[in-house]
Amino acid sequence: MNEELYARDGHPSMLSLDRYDAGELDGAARHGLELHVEGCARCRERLAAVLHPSLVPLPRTDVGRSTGSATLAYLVASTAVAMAASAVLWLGAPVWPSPHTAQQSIAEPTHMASSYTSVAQDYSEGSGLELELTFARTAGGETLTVVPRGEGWLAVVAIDGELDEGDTDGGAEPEITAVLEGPRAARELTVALPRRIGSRRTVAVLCPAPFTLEPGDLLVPEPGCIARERE
Amino acid sequence: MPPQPDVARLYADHAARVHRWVRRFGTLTDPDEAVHEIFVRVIESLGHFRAESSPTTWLYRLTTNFCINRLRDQGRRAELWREHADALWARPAPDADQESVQFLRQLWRSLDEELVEVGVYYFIDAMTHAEIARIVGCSERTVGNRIERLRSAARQAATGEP
Repeated sequence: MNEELYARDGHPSMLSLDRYDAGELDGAARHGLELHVEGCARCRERLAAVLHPSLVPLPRTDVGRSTGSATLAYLVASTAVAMAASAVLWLGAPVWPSPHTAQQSIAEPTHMASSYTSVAQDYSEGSGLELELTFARTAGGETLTVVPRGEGWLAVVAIDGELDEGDTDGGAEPEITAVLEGPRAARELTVALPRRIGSRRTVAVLCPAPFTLEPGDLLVPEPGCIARERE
Repeated sequence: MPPQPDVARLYADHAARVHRWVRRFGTLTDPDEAVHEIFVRVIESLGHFRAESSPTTWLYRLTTNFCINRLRDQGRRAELWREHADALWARPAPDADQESVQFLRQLWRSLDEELVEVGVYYFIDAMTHAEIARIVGCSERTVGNRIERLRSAARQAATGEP
């Protein structure tokens, strides 16, 4: 394969940097690119962005999706081993299944904590992962701004039920009624909040690795993740 | 027939990369879901992989086309996405023809998909004709023609002349 390495501006294209990261460049091409990057601050920065620690979205296992549920199931099955191996790289932290996949395909860890709050306390002692929630009233309604302390994936959801603060053994997990934002890697999220209806509550969730949440899922506590409810 | 790439290996090696490519298209509804749908297409398209380009390049093209189409669909489905879809053209290469980019930003939904794809590689990624030709699987001359058609569309938008 004799693919071009350099863009019109004389620097390696972003695709070339990705191919370098993927180990697809042969010796001469790799050496040439490394020489260029060594002497080019801009490209060192671009390469650093490409080499950022891998965040691999978990394969979804939903059935009844509009596109290729059967092939998705195949994908999930065939990637399980590879995912387990690659996931260890995520930010140096173990990987936990998303609330969605936890219910369907992956056995729950034996040390599953009883609530997000208690997990948050455990986790924050080790890594300082924490969430700060700020509410503001605007002419159009109310907004919630979520700022994580520590790197992670953020989501804001509406739930039907209670996010227990203490021991929840035997208690029903709240159901997610709407995903208002995310999950995505972000340093800050601002969400326009819908009017509260009945028992709906707004909860921000922060996990160290990518996860999935969908309406209808139960908000199952996950080790390493924390959740905060609007006061 | 060249050996087909292993999907599990592709996913493990490239999912994070595909996720990053998807995010550059701005507020595409749900990047995670997009990644999963792209890998469904990967499975469906394995038979078309000819090893003429690297797996990364092949995935890059598949992702770019998926995102272009998704943004178009979103534009059709919901006005909300109209304002966000411009992110596609928000970061042109420094040496790109900025005036053309500005007009293409307004026009891209009405252009042929093959033109938009080449436009992204040329005006945003700053790729050479040769690299674009290899990715798209056409001649450099065809690439040049498509870029000229894009510039022509931009000029027409600027002057208002047909």
